[in-house]
Amino acid sequence: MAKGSGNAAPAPASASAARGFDMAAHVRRINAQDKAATVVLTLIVGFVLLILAAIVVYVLASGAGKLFDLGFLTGKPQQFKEGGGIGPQLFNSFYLLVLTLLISVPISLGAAIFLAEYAPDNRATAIAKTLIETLSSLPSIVVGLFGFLFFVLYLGWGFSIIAGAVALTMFNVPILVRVIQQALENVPRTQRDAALAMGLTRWETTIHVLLPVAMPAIVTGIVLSAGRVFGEAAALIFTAGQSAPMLDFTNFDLSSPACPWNVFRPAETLAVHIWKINSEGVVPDLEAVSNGTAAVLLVCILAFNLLARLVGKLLERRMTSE
Amino acid sequence: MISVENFKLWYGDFQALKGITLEVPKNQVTAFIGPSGCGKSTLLRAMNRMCDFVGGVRHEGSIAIDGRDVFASDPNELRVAVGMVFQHPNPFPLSIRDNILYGPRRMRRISKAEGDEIVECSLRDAGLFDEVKDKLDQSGLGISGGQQQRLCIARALAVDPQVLLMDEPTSALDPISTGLVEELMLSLARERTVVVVTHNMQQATRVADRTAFFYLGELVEEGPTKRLFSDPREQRTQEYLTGRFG
Repeated sequence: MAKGSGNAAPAPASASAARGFDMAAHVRRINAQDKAATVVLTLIVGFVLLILAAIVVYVLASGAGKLFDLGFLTGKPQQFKEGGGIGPQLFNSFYLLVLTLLISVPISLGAAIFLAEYAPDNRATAIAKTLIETLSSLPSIVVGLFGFLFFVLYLGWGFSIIAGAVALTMFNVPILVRVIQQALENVPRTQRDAALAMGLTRWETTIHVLLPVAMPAIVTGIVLSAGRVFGEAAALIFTAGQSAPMLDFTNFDLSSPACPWNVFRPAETLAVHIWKINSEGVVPDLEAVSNGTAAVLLVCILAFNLLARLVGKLLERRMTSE
Repeated sequence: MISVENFKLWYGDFQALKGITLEVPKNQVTAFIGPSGCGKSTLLRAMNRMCDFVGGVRHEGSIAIDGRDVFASDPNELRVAVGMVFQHPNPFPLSIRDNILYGPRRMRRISKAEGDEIVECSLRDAGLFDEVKDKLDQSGLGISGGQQQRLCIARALAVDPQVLLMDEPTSALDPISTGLVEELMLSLARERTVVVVTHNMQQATRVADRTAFFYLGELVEEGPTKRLFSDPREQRTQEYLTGRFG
């Protein structure tokens, strides 16, 4: 609400009254506008929140039965019978996420540091920035089909975790570069001055001063992008594949499809699983499996978001007062 | 001693310094005064080559510190010998101890005992030791603005610079902190050359042995502070001091 809007309008000053300007009416009008804006904006936000909350509650409520069912979370998926689980998919989703981050975070850090600190302010840099922005809005199905043609077929990796991770990297890097670059550019000028005036090189300044200061924002950005990667389906359908061989956690033969750590095995993730059972599933309980999977996926992503805030805050606090 | 010889500097097409010649004596406080945009900060930032980071900068003439041409030196080496304190306190997001040891640790390995000694010495020189001695491991960002500024001074002192450049070091501070920093300038100048840019003419009279008045990129007048304030030789100096412009 507008503060102080209840105050009586001051009497019109003589000079403005002489010019026919009614101060009291003007104050009434701008206060009314402010109130109207508050109401309209609150309604818009309320409407959006309502829709989001409804979706979240619906997904969680539909899948609630399976969400806490350990047999479902760790079990083996079924092709034709009911009672299938999502054990391999759950593991695949996390494994793929970790691999994707292992590849995309170092690349993004390097690129962002270069763009924020080293790149000369010229046409080439401007073009590179535009390209990165374009890449970040590339539809994920396009990334997926490119990955299919190039990594799966041309390089002969087959449907594999590594093909999926590289495809996800392609669409994660542009987002991460932007987030990290922004975080570095938001470091106050005074910090940069302090470092440079002490005779630190650009590299020392970046590593010892800018990165630590920007770290809360960087970590938050990475975790949020992890949420997106975790829920991605289109880019994975044709790269990591749609089959989830049962995993044997005692198997360390990196060439075996049952070895969880083998990066050349096909690996269906949670999001792809939802897509697959809904489009071609024949199990009798496909709705329950699909709802349960969706709920698990949603809970994971909510957890990522909460984690992002928590870690960001903790880092921030550690920096300002240990 | 800092000798500035016919020094000119341009930002793009704008000439910010128009041929400055000036001797800044060793182990004294010299104040640069003048209205905004007169070039005093620009000259200060040329002395440790912080001007290098501004796009489109060009300069002519020379600046030498103890006979060494600053523009022929390695800038990072130069900035270790020529410390700088800024208008806004800017400690690193590290503990108070690590802030001070940051500079020394870059140059050599510092043992725990030696580190403690450097921390205590620098903090004592900056008049801050008694206030923070129990929280050396807390963040340098967690203390008051005036304390942060003295921490920045201590950080600069830890590498034992010959010259300390101060760019309006008290303009963001309260009167009590300002007083402390001013006392500090006087004591620091016993062993090093201090150059301070200030908007506050009273500050110049309180701390500076010599004062230089800049106007529109020129050095109008330079001399012992007492003489410059009581008996300015140039009309523009007199007009500025009596508040007729600026």
